Amino acid sequence: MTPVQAIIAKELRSYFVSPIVYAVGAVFLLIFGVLSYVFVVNAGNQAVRLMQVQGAAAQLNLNDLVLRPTFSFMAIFLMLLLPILTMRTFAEERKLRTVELLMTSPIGINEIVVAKFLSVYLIFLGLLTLTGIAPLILSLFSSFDWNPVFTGYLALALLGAMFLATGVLASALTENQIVAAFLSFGLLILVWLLGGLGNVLGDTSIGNTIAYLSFIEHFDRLTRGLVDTKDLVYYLSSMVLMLFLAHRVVESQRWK
Amino acid sequence: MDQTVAIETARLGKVYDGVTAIQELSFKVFAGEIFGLLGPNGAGKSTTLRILITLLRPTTGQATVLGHDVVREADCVRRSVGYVPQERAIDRFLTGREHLLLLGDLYHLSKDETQRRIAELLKLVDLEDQADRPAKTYSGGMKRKLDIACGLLPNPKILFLDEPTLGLDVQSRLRIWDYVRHLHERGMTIVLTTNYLDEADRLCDRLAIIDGGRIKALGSPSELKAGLGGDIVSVILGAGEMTRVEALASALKGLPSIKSISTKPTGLDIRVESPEKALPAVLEAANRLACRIEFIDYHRPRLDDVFVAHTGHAIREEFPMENVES
Ligand SMILES: Nc1ncnc2c1ncn2[C@@H]1O[C@H](COP(=O)(O)OP(=O)(O)OP(=O)(O)O)[C@@H](O)[C@H]1O
Ligand SMILES: [Mg+2]
Repeated sequence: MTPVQAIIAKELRSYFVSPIVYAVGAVFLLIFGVLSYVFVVNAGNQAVRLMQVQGAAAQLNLNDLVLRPTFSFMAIFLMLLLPILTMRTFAEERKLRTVELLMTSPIGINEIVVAKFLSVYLIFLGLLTLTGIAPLILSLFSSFDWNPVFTGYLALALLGAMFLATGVLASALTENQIVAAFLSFGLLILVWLLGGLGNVLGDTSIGNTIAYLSFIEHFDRLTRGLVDTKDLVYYLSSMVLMLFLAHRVVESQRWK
Repeated sequence: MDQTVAIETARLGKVYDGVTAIQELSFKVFAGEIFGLLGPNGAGKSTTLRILITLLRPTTGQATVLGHDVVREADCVRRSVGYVPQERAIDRFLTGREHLLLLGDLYHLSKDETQRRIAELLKLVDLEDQADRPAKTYSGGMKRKLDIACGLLPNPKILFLDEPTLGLDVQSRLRIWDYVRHLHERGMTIVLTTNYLDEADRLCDRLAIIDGGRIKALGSPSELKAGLGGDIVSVILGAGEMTRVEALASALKGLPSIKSISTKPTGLDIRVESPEKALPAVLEAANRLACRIEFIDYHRPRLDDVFVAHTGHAIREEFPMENVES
């Protein structure tokens, strides 16, 4: 195994023997299930109402009524859930000093940071794949456009990458896992609120720049099925930025 | 032993937010020797070691390991050294063997090579039976052994051992000493820290006595002992007689056969030209002062005497030194 693979294997191992993954995974899947259920019931009610008004079976848009709102709500829940997944990455190892094992070996800090990030990302992608059951079941009973579903998953995958990278940075900043979790909540909520701030400032260049920094707008476009390079660049560059900062933080700690 | 310099430090200093841990540390370690840093708790031994293995950046001064600067060429240094930390850093979830496998991957060793070394090392530290248990269930001594195996896995050119035998039982200590000697015979350079005088005396080719962050003496154990000159007369006073120790010391001071006197919590250590002349003088002075002597002996200088002579205090105050034959 290469060093990065070896670290990923070790990380996954510790995740799966600790209860964190199971707790986060259960809550994640539960929320996804409940959300999609609520929206499906809601869509059903609307269909009944439409039938009473129009007297004929109306063609409902399940993409708009069920899938898109589920994705949007998931984005908010990820903000709360993913910091729990990332909080231990560096904080715990620094506290237990096992990080010295990595630090005195000839591997680079970039390899350590990337391996830590990839291990949480793999867990997240695994959970995301499991949620695919919901649209699959839905497709058995109805028809909808698959394209926005795929881009919606792409949006969640990108958003998750950005959140997890932020979480890894927060975890590198402290030895305390709880502090790390709150730090990443704080950072993510701040970035989220920038969207609102941008809207308040209106259609000025500052307003637009600030709104661009928030992940909401980019996310919405993707869930509507629109894949714009600008949005992809936004997610990938913010992820790289966070990992780069994490690298700097870990590097500076090596030299305390 | 050839005299290639493996490690060289020049006026090394480290300040941790306001606390000076070490200062003006300059020494050389030659290739193939066992070099010891001997000092009491808090002397700065671990700090020195952690600078050399690139875990800490020195505040002042420079250090090179195999010709590579520990700050500018940290990667080169890391590739050629192994490190056994003082405090164990054991992953909570990995077994002993998995720790070693992980390290094998981190050091880019081939699978076969890793397996072969793991088998050898587990045998050496006598952990074969426990290798597949999670390391968090190990006893303190077993963790220590795993640490040592981890330090040796990369087969480093220089091995750094921070208090290698702290907390181990006697058999394990002796086994580790044997293994250190064995590595030494194979040409490995070894730097270890210790606060055991016997360990420093029996194991090290050369040592630096460190106290309060400074080097107090440097040389081979026999050089250091010979450097003191003369013999040591130890006087242990009876219970309740310590009030008179100052009087006794000043009565002896200046006598021709006595070179120096240092006070211990239980009595006096007197460095003398020759015990034949000094002993009667000591007894006579004690008698004159009505000072009851519990025990008196004389011996050739031991490492503990060297330590006291250079630092002005014993390495551990509470209990008497282990016996070290010289
Ligand atoms: N991270 C740190 N922050 C602040 N001070 C520190 C830190 N690490 C060590 N020190 C201080 O530096 C000094 C030297 O510590 P060091 O650990 O090097 O001693 P040592 O010789 O290894 O002692 P011991 O035998 O107890 O291991 C001590 O006074 C210690 O309090
Ligand atoms: Mg120490």
